[in-house]
Amino acid sequence: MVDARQNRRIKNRAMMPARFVLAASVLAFGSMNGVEGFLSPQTHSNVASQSSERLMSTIVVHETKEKAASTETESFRPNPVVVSAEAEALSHSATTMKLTPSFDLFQMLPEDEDGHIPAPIGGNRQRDGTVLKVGTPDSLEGLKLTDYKGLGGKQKIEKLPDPFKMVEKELKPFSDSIKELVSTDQPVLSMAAKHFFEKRHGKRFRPTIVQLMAKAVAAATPEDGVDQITTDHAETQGIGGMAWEWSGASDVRVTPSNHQGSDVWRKQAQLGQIVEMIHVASLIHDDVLDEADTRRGGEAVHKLYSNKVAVLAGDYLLARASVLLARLENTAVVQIMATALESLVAGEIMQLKSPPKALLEMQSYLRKSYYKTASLICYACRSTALLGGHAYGSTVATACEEFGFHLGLAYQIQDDILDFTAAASVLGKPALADMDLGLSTAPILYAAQEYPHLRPMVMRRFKDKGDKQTALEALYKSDTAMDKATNLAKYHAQKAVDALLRLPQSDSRDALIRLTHLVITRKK
Amino acid sequence: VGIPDNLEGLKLTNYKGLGGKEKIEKLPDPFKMVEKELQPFADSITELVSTDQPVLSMAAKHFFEKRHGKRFRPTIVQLMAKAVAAATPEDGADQITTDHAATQGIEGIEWEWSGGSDVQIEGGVVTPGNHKGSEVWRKQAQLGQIVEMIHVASLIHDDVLDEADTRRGGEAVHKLYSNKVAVLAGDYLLARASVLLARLENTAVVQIMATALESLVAGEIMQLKSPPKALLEMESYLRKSYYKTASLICYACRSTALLGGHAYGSTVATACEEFGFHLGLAYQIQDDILDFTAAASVLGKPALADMDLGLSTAPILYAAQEYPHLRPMVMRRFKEKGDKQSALEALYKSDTAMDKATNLAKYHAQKAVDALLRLPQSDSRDALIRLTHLVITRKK
Repeated sequence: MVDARQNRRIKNRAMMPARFVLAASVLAFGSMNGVEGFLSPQTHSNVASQSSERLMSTIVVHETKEKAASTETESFRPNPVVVSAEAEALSHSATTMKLTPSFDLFQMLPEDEDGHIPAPIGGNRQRDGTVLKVGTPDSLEGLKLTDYKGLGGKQKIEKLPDPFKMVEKELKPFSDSIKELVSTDQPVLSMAAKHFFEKRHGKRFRPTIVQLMAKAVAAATPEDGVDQITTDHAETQGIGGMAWEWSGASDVRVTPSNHQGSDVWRKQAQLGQIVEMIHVASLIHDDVLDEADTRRGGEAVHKLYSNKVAVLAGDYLLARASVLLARLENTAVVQIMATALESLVAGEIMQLKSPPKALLEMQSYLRKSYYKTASLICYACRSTALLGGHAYGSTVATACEEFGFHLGLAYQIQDDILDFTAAASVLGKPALADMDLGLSTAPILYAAQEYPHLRPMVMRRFKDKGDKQTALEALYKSDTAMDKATNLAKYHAQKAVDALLRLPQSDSRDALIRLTHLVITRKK
Repeated sequence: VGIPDNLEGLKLTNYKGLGGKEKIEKLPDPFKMVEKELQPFADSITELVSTDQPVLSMAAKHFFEKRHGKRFRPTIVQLMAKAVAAATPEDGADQITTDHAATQGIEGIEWEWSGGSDVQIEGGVVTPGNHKGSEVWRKQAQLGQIVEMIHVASLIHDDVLDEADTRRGGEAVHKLYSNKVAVLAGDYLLARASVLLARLENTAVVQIMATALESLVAGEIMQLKSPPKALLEMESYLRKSYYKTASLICYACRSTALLGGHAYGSTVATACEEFGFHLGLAYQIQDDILDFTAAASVLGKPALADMDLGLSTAPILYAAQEYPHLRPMVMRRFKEKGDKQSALEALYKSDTAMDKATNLAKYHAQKAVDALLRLPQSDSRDALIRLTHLVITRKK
């Protein structure tokens, strides 16, 4: 009985010493070794290699034997949030999700930059796409982005379907509904919110991704036996009787022909709008934080109105998104997207107060980029798969999240490169915005690896007079720094495409490949 | 049915502090009753905010430790949880709602999310005997903490909005730190609350609490930009008070009943929300009265804070009903020099305005008690009655 087990857990908890451990959500069946392992990982033999000095971000990595070797090289992991194990345990039941951050599921840096391949655990175990493609030829198998124009090759990306045109019409009623949602009879507030939805040049990037992903997963048959796989694995880990009921939240049978206009389709489209609302809310709040003068072509909300209105507008969008999310009536998706929201805030906190040493590390920068940008996209992608009837641990859902993860990182790295290469008039925001805020991004970090005199400047966030100028000169002098950054973006874009290629071929999947190409070739 | 209720027909005005002679202390002390069982959850909040981000953790801790509030909302939720455990879930409540849906012409509504009232507990039904320590109890206690987090997040964001110098005994967060940190701290608490809410794995409760969050924001917006004429109306003022204060409490109460196994449309759940609604309004009206009657040192915030922000509350609205010359001042939010002074003088001159406001608070408190009395008698229910008395007799 669930109740008895819970009572036992509560008793166990009371007997544990009140240890202040670093914890957050962990994917239980892949990482847990019984309740004791969850509560005090330091005492568990498999996690001996993890010292308590190695502060982690919001997670505790419970290491299986496979993982122990790979995490020994983990360097400093900035820690925005600390939650005690007892507090975490109070909020969990037998069926709640314990999500592993995507950078522990998928690879963040290439091997030649000290990156390593994460060991297979619950969220990434199913990564073999052949099971999905039995009997179906894939004309794009083994595609390399660098074969295409704009990235060094000759092939035309235009052979693939245009992602935005493909979903423009079907997204329209939903984006109209957002405009109406924000058409309150509060003129100031509605202007503030409308500002972002109408005047900015962004292309409704996230809803487009979600919509295309929805179609792409409709073309993939939900795997039988995935739930059994996850249940078996849970048993081998000693977690008896975990039913993974929430994987059954995917109780639908979608095919490309019945997908359009169905309830599943509607929910996925709604998810896209929810993601957009969350994104815009975070932008509005960020503008209060960053006091940016311009953002993407429009005046930053708070300069036009006031901090007061900016905070309210952001809160309003978040509240609205929460209501819509609840109405999807899918507990797994709600948990995943709530974690995405938490990640956004965690990323902002990391940016605000990182220890100086962390500022120099690529891992730290990438992890922060994950929290701030990629987390929303990758969690949205996995949620789309769940809404489409795929189980959490399935090949399809894993491929979706992996795609979103790498695409998000590629997007952010390209954004950071453009901060140096694009003139203010093209980009719509002043170049060097990141350095003005004291932030060091990929190009500068690579330059600092080459020119040690940049390192103290990075660590003091370019506070001293002349710091920014010196850093910029070093960047331009370096033959390799900008290339390395570009290659990192290409690396992640290719990994995103690799994940996509595990899905069966469809127009929408190919459109997503083209979108990935666009993300790293765009000039603004 | 079959259970005698020795507090049946209770009138708050029979008790000391409200004009009567009875001692409210005969009823159980609400805070003492749940103090111990709330402790592990309260600790968990303190740890949640013990980040190694000193600025952020100080900002959030500020509210959890330094303010004088008594963890009001978690206490209400916990007592409500026990009170509904003493009530048997009605058979046929879902049928009633389905019938109603049919008469309204809404086809085939299964009210499936009323299955948000499916509980995991031995025996399938919550009773006072199996409640404590159960999964149901844990979720209800977690809900109380979620409500507290949402409330504090809104306070922190409000301080950015209102630029209040002090709030309830501590420096307003943003004055100590900055708008930047205040926005982040509020966002962090909201995100944390969202994750915990999602982990309750109850779509009905998530929908209800998301609506509560939306109501909070709507209330702030109403306060920001009401048309001048609306500022004069009691209904408008009460609706704004509902959004800003009562909505969170009443939705939390109904959610507690749902988590306890009662259907959305049941007598119990309805009584819970009605209690929370009236209690929230009574609390807010009393707050607005104290803004005039309490000195700054007692209240912890400067008196007349509402007027300083241009807000007209119950006492002033009643005074404006009596003295028409106040009306333009209310409509221009006391912008002009001398407005506040004139309004205050009119209020003190009036024989009736303050009494009317006090009676309004009493009215809502009594309605809250009437709703409670529909639940079967239990110590926790009686403690809630005592808490209602406290809400309108408090001096700060």
